[in-house]
Amino acid sequence: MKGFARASVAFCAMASPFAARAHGAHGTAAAPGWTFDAWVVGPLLLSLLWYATGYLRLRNRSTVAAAHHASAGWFVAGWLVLATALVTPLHEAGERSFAAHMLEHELLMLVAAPLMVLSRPIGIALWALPQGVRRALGALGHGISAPWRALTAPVTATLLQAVALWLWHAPRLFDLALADPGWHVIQHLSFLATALLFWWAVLHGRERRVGVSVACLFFTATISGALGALMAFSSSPWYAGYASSGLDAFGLTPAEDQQLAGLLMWIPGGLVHALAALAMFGRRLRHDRGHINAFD
Amino acid sequence: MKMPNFAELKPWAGLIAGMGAAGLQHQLVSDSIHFDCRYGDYDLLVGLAALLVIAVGGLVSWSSLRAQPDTDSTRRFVAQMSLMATVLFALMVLWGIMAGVILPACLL
Repeated sequence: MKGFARASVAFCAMASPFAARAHGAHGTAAAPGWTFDAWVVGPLLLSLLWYATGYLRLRNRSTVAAAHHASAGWFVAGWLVLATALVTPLHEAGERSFAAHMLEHELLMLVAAPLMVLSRPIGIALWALPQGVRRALGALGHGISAPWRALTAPVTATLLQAVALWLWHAPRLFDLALADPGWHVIQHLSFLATALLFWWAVLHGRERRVGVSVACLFFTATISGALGALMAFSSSPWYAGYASSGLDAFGLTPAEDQQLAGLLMWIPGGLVHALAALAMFGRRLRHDRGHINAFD
Repeated sequence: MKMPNFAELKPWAGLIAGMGAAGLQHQLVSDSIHFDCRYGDYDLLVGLAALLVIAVGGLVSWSSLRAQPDTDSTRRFVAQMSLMATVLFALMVLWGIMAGVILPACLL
């Protein structure tokens, strides 16, 4: 219980600037710094440049002044969250604290992914390309529409994300990701890719069957909540990479750090899914003027 | 002495089986691990047996639901509630199984 209380206090401390509080393992290491890995920063900048070019070209051709402003806003917000998770000191702090690592994963899967999906970036990004390439990609898009529909079917996308979430938290695989940067990249990519598929299925499938989307959100809230609760109530650290590091950046033991990580996965994660489900029901109720049949 | 009519319990089957199976799984695996982590070896076996019991209970409730076309029937309402409870208890058992699959029992 004492550890739980300390973990809760540390959760509040995370709201303050991380670098100022971070002391690394055993309290002696330097504060975590920014991560400017070319394989992370390069694709991030390229995606922003690509989208901005497409957006500007489309805006110049559009007759409606405010067209695509909302999409651009969602995209920029999602991109900023991605950059916050992968480039700021939070990323390096995640190598010393499991709670910080969990926060990074939550930002990728619960914030950046839905914002990116809401922006529907592919259509705008295509405008950055020459007309011939756009047409060729459009034809390719028609060719892969069947597998795309299969991957973004709500049940398939939900199960894919659930499998990625649970498998990567198995101690053997998580330790592999901690020890090897290549596996770490694959872990983050699989979290982000499955989250994008999940949020695409849930948010863009809402017009069809809001009940199915809400059921998928509920299932995902329980699966991530169960994993988070397991971590929160476990008294032993699961991952050798963190267990061997002694006190983390907040002065927590590895077990307390893990309990905090579990709480982050359990409570804020569940809230995001619950709020998304409520927003979808609210939207559908407004659309149907108070009459709803969730399974139509 | 009047014998109980088990047919009356059909709509409740999912709820009763779900509660019983999830409770037994919790006692036999999750609680026992605290005393001796070697009980974790039985996680998969007990979990699958619990899921089977829940599935059978759910099927009985489902057949009872199909047999009640009257939407205002109390038995139909109970059968629907039992089916929803079946899903929740199945999820509860499933997460217990998953925990045993990805984590060594002595680590918990």
